[in-house]
Amino acid sequence: MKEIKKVLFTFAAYDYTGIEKYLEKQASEGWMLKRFTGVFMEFSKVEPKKLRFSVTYFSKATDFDPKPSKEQEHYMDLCEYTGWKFVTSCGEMQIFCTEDEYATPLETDPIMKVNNIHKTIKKIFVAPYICLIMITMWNVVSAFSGLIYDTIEMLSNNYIILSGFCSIVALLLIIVEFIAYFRWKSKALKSAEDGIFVESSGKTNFQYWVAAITCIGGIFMIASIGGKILFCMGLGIVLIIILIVVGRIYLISFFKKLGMSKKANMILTTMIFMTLVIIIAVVTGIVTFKVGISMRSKPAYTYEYEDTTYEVYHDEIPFRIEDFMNARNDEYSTRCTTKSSLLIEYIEASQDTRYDVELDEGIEYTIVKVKSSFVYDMVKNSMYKEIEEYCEELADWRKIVKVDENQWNANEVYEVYAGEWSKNHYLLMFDEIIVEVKFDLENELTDQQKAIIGEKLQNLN
Amino acid sequence: MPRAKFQTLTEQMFYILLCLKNECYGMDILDRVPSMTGGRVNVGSGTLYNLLEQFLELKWIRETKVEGRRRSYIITGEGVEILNKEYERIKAQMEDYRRFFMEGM
Repeated sequence: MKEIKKVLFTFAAYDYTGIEKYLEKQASEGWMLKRFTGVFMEFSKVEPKKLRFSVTYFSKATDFDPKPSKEQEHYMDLCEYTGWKFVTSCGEMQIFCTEDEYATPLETDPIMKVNNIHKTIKKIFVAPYICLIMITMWNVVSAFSGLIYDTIEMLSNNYIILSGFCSIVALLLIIVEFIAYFRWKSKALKSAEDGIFVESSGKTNFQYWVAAITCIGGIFMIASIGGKILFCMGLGIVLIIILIVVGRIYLISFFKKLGMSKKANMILTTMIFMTLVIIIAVVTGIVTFKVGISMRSKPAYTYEYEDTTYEVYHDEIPFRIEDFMNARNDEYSTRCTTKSSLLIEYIEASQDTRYDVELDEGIEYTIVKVKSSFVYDMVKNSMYKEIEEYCEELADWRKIVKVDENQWNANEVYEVYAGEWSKNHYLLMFDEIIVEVKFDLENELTDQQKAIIGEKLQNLN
Repeated sequence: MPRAKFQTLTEQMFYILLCLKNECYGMDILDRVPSMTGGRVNVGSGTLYNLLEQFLELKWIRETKVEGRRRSYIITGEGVEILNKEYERIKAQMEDYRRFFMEGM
């Protein structure tokens, strides 16, 4: 037979009637509350008893108090005088019980009770929640502004998608919490005006946990699809959250046991967590940076030309000059970077001649493969706009013009012209692939070459 | 604590202040209020604690001594004034009632 059980605390902190009823039911089933950490309620096995519980809020108490303050002792003495025994406390929340069915309730003024709760809630929730709201708002805003100003960069970055998603979920959670509290408060005040203590809705604050679990699930889902690094990052985020929520409680009570003063405990706990967060941030930063460097390709060789050292790369690129024409040189430098996220794959590639040859030619292109069709238009508009802005900046009568797509076998094609002259700069739209390509060639492309390039791009894997 | 809220005293406030005409411990108040009112008014320990805090803040009462964990209080001149005002209000209410129901008939 189990002697001790731990139960996850799923009530809202202000739902005192709900907590009282729950504790009374547990006692009648032979489980007496022993300890409450804010996350878990610890019960020990006792004889089933009919007890009355009272949850009060003592706004001057904190988690950090090594022992009850003089004021709190006074408060507890007054409670004991009318038959209420102190059971346990968690920060501001003080839990008392009595066997006396007729004992005067600890609180006989419902309006004062609501005000007291409000004072406590304001103290423990408002400041951290406002901080959290500001941080998440900032995250959401920067994610969305990133989406507007740097759509493709943003969509190809799983990390931004992940943190944006988490921020939105967190923001929604906080808003839901706030609304729930203020609805409770107005209900409680209304019944207090009639001299009645508000009844608990009876519902445990379950949505909160469901949402939290969904959020953690979401992190894992995105992270596991997004590859090993991201998976580790997701795991890291979840661990940090758990560490901060649970570890903090144990750390505080550990310091309390050592007999540390309130101030010292507060400072030390805060310092330890700040250090931890900084260490984690730095380690994550270093890992990300190292991984980023190791993924970058190394030059195949270097050469000297007019007192400057140039690097030649031999990266694999999706398509080459040789694919659609007879190249005039034997040697090219090819560069390719790929960024991939849940939503898009973003490839930037170029093929250039060496500086020490006379016959200069090259291609430079950006390929975006859209994995989730709902971002297709976003990507398309962003790429179009970027070229449009580029044309305006050059101010040499350059403009982007819609041209015949059939030659390319594409859905839509735009071409950049300076006056009447084609600049050999195209935006090609296929079913799931959008490509911006600049050709630096001697001649304009023939229809046959366009068809080959179109064919090649559509069949990219 | 907004003063506006205390324009009229609740019964519990009234009797706590009344008790404190003579110096007494918090615990005494818990006993005296029901006995003064024949059990009609009860003050809970939590409510008493909070009201004492607020009265101290408003300087309606003051702490007289702290003996170990026990504290005693007494009403101040300001508190007496509040109590008198409340008395006048209740009296006026009573007179209105009397005039309306007894003489007016």
